[in-house]
Amino acid sequence: MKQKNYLAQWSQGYESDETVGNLESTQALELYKKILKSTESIKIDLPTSLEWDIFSKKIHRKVSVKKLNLRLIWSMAASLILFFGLNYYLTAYKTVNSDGIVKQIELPDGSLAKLNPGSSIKFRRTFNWFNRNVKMKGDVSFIVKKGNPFNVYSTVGKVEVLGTTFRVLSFENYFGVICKEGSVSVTHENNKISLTAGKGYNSITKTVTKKVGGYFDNNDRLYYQSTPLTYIVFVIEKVYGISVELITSKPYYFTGVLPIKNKEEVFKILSETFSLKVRVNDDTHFQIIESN
Amino acid sequence: MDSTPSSTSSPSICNESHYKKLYLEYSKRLYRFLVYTFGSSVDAEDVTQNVFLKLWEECSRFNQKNIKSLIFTMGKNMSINHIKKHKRQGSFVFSDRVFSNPELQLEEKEFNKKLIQSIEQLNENERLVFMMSRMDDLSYKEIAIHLNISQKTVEKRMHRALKFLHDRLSVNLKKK
Repeated sequence: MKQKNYLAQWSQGYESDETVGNLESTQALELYKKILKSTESIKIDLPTSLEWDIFSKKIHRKVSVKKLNLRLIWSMAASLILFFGLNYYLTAYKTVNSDGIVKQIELPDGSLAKLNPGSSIKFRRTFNWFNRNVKMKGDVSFIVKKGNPFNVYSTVGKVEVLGTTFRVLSFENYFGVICKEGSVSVTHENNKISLTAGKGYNSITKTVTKKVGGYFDNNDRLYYQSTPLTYIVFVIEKVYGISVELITSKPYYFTGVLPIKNKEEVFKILSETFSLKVRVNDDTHFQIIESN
Repeated sequence: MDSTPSSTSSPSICNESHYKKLYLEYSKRLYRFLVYTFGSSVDAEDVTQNVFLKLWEECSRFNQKNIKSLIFTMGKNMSINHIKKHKRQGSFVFSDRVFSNPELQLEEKEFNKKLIQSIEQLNENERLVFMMSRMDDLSYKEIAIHLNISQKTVEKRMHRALKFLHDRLSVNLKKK
């Protein structure tokens, strides 16, 4: 008795040629083989009209011939005007200091912002309408003119002032504020801290320090207060256009003054302060490692 | 803070870049499937185009979830309407493009031509199984899942298809 669907089994290799030859004939087997072999030469390619470049023109044409709803068009136009109008006023101005020197910019209210290397500030066109809000990253000193409330936002904390001179440092999770004149109100981790002239606060010690450095306005030397060494290294890289790899087993925080025009002196101060070694790989590649 | 779309919702196909991705992934597969169904590249081209135009025009109704099965279902339904409208049952024509190998000898070309004519004359169900097995290299189990029929039915259709092609070609060869 013939097996059911033996040709289907044979074409998938589950039945032998012999079986088909016996059930039909050798001549039939050869023709079946030829059929299977010939189907291998059949090629079905996508016609040109269905290639994306051609077809996509049709979908664009379809969009344009869709019935236009006047009411919908008016409401869309109104939304667009509103959107672009709002966008005009909400547009943010951003300044990034990618140079190796301190960059000073004047804000629309006449206040000044001094951006240390690698820092940025951002404010909207609505700045000084009701208040003066500035977003910042890095190390920025502000000399604020009296007027509407002046607020500085960083990813970690906020500083509120009316008119004063202060410096904010925000890098990754680090946040530090130094008040030179007047007073500022610092918000950090839901705590409000008031700083008067000559006082500082940072997110490492989380205390108000009484004595801060005397190089506040000096463009050649910068004062740091419990500042992560990772940030100092970031600034060094920006200022001197070099690459510095920091290889330490624990975080280090620097308090003191660093020059910004003398790389050798910076490395000397850091290595002496923390007993670290500076390894020179070549003119542009340095490593800071622990001594032992 | 930037808002990001919910990861649980499927992206809309009204976005042209999503639609393009979808088109590139499925247009060829649908076209081939329709060639097998119709035995005609011309009809397959028409229906493939109509499926994807409809998908674009009514994109807001669909999302990318189950899109593959939706495309093939649309293809099958439109094929039925297309056949009714054009009344072309039994008169399908493969385009000359199907045999693209210029190296073939005249005798082989002649045989292939006859083979194509015989495939066109196959019953639609048998042609679909035969082509999916031979052209797409699918197993009978995979074909059964795709066509939502039993594996036994697939095997039966394949057996009949081979038998039909053999008988047709034997007659043609004898005539020659």
